[in-house]
Amino acid sequence: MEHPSYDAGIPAFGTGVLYAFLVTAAVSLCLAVLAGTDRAGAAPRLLRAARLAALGTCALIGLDVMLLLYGFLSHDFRIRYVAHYSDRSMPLHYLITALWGGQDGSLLWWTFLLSLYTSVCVLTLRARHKELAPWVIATLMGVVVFFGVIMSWAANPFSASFVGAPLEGEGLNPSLQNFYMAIHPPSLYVGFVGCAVPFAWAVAALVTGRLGEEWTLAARRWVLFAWMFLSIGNVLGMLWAYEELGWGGFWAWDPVENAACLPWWTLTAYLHSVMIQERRGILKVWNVALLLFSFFLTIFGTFLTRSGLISSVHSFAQSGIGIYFVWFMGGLVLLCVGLVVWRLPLIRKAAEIDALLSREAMFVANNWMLLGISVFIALATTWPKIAEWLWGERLTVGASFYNAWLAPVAVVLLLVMCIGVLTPWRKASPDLLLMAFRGPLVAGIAAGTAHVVFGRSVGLPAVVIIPPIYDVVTPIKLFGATLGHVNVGRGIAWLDGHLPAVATALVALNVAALAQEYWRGTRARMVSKGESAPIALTRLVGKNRRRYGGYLAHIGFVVMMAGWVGAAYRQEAEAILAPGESFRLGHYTLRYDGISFIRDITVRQTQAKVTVTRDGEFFAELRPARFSYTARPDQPTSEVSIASRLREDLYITMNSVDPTTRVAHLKAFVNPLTLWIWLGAMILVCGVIIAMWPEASKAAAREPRPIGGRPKAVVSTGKVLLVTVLAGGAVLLLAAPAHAQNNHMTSVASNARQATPNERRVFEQLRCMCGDCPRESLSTCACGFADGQRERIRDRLARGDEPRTIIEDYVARYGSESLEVPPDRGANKALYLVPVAVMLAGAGVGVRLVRRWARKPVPVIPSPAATMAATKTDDDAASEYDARINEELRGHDE
Amino acid sequence: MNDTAERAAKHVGLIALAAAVVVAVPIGLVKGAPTVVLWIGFVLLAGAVLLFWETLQLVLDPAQPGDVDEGDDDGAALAALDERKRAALQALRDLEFERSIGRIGEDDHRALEARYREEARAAMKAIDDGVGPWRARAEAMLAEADGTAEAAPIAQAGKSTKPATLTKDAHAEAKPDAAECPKCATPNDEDAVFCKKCGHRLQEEVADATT
Repeated sequence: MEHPSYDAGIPAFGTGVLYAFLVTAAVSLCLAVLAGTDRAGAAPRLLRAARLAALGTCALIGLDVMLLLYGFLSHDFRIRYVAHYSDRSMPLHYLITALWGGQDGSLLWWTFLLSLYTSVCVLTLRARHKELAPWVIATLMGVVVFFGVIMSWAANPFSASFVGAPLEGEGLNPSLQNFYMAIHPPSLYVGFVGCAVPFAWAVAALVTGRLGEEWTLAARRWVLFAWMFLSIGNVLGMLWAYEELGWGGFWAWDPVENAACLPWWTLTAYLHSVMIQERRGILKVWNVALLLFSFFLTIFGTFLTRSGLISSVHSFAQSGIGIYFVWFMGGLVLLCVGLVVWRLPLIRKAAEIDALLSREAMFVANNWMLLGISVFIALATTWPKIAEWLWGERLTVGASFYNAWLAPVAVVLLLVMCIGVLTPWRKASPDLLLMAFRGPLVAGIAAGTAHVVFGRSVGLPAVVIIPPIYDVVTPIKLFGATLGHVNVGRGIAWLDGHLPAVATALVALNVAALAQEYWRGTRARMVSKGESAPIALTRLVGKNRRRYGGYLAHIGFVVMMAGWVGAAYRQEAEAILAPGESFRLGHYTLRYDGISFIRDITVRQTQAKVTVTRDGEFFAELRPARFSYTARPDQPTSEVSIASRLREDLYITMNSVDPTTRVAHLKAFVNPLTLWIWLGAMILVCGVIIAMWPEASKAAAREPRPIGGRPKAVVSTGKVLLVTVLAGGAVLLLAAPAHAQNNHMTSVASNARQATPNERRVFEQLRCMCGDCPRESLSTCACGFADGQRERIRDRLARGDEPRTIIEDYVARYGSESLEVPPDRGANKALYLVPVAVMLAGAGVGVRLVRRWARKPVPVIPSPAATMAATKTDDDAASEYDARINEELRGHDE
Repeated sequence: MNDTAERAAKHVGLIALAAAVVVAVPIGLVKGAPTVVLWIGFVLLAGAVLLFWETLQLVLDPAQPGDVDEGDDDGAALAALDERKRAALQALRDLEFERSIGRIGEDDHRALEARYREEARAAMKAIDDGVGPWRARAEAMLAEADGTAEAAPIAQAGKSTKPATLTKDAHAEAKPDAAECPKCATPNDEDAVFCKKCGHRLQEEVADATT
């Protein structure tokens, strides 16, 4: 069919709709601002107009997505984006996932999700929150305008190529054609974009000065929803890395991974500190700032993924849209800081809490820890760029840096968590608190001791020798005199090495404390209401969803932590084998039986069969494979095969195989406790769903509401069902067949022997500089370049060269960025000194704040008789109020 | 009037949406997935056009009614007092819970409970004092309306003076022993807790009337 012009039809219409929704979003924004600032009484009319215009904008965005989807489904290769990311052979579901596979489409996808959130927000808003609503809508439309501008100017997904449509598209990168790529970006995006709605509420609160409960209550479920999907999205990312990327791990502290988890930490901090605000009315501006910051981090993360600012396995192509993000982020910072500074004086009430030893104070500690972690991750992620800008040095901050420094922090976090769980609101009676600690403490000590005593025999020794990430002795100088020397690298390595048993103890402590909380609540109900245990438990959770849902989420998180600790015990081995040969790893003997070929129109599979026995008994049959896609024959991929058990995972990849001789290069890992991470994640999600579950409509007395107004609209059952289904989809992850993609493998068999500890120490500190792989260290990268380097280094070590010299020569040859971790020298010390200083300062501020807030001690009223007498001397009004108070309390407790 | 129109409009929207979804199925079976996508796109386009038409009317015509105010907005002062009251009640609930699971001692509990009860009482009293004048004004207007037997505009407790958007059916159905809602003047049963029309809480008012 002849087209009159190169972009007639969908491309032109799609671009037109793009411009249209940019304009209508701007119109809605203006109407909303007019409604918010109106003094002449036209506000309700203008607000309604703004709302409808916002809904219309969302409809147009939906239309645009449909048009692009149509382009994919009808294989309209005139559209550059469609031609680049699809081909005629792709099945329907991958055509849909190709929508967000590339830069422009993912921006449109971001906008589409934002439009969904906006519609739900506008529809549930209806006419309530008259003061806040205009500004919520204005903010959301403002973000839409930003994305509209980027797409219209720099990243139009509908742009058509002048030269006409190619006959066939390029097809989606095979590494993206898998189950996880279908669900990981959408779920993470849902979490990311979800931060925009709380952001809008926070901005509205600041602009109108209504910093009280109204906005926090309205925003609460949005925050929980976004947080839940951030959790799911990040865990799916971990699963994807584990089962697809094939390097044996699940989190590489990749800049984009870090950017995706940063908002999670700040939102978690918010979820806790908002509970202080609800009870004491303090920290209003802090909570607002947390939400503003979380949204800023999502934009920052989106920016990092796209600008190629910091090289990462996730980077889309380097493109010109980075500058738009920079302007937007600058504007955001100005707006947010300006609003906060403007409203700071509004906090008139003197902040007060009842006691230092209270949950309020513990939540301050929680915020301190989580913000500290965020600062650390943010600084380390951006350090390469900072170093490059400030003093022109090219650096890498590799995974070993994060793992080394965050391990002690995680352990402290576990400790703060368990104290927080056991401490009641308002005021803790110290003796009762100690009594509450007894059980969990016993459990913790027992677990820790068991780990120390039995650890080695089960392969999880309590003390691990960890190679230090740097080995530099720093003198401590004070006024010119040398007080002593410190070797930070060795110190941290020593500390990390002794942490496993401590971590085990704390995990057990936390789980015991949480179980005890459930038990105490259940028993209280059994005693006071005479209910049986299961009924008491169900009713208990039903009436205190936030508390017990939150506890469940805590359990989930702690279980995940246990899984992360297990990752420290990873073992690996590799071998080049002919059919029939076997090699050993831990308790397992892996026998390579041979290969088989499976062929279809899209892919040619070479599948190996590996029979695994454990201590002589048959354990599993694993089938690692190599895939060669018809569309991209030069980029074969490795498929992982995993046998998951509660205790450990056995994980095998086949890096290369020679089809004629059938000699295969296999690499195997034993990953203890990895299954716990995914199980913990599911528990976490269940906990959040319980916390989010809408109260029954009888909640008129329970749910706080403004004077005279109707009860707050409850989140629709449909929305919660959707959430449950999506979360349930996360359960399916475990059932999905495992595949791995590792694109830069070559077919040359690599020199494979299990590296000696000495060799490994050197390999782990150096990065592979082949240019293809994403910052992998020499110990994991399997490309030809890495092979050669490893061989050279082995020779040098055999000749007796010092590891330090070898490393220095490597760095001299390939530049300072070839070091996995920046050296502990000069300005690079700031990389750890700054976060430590921030955390110390934060601790100081936190303690001072809490002490200032704690009131003078409450006078102890001597006896009930005296209390009764005191009440009786009040006038009748007091007792009438008491009656009303009792009634309202009773209404809650049923 | 606006209420019924809005409800009908909402239902029309839902019906149209349902119809669109239902039509999508045969389209998909006959013509395939791409056409379904186009159909959904068309529905969205139609929706957008309708919404913008409505928006245009709202902007250009000052006589168009805005949203019905479903939430009461008694001003920042009352909201702050309400917040204090709710915070105090929440404190009392927390205290009760902590005591029931044995985490707070009896002395501490008594002392804190006394403090929070005092706070709750003070807040409730302040609220009643604050709301009092508005209630009196509303009652006066009701009396006036009853006397003249015409639809009297009732100012919402708060600041705006625009005409109310409520029907006058309520007056025709007035029963002599009914309690009237101070907000919308609908007669309700004597022991009604909430107004059957607007949902305004009547309980406190009834209690006040009897003391």
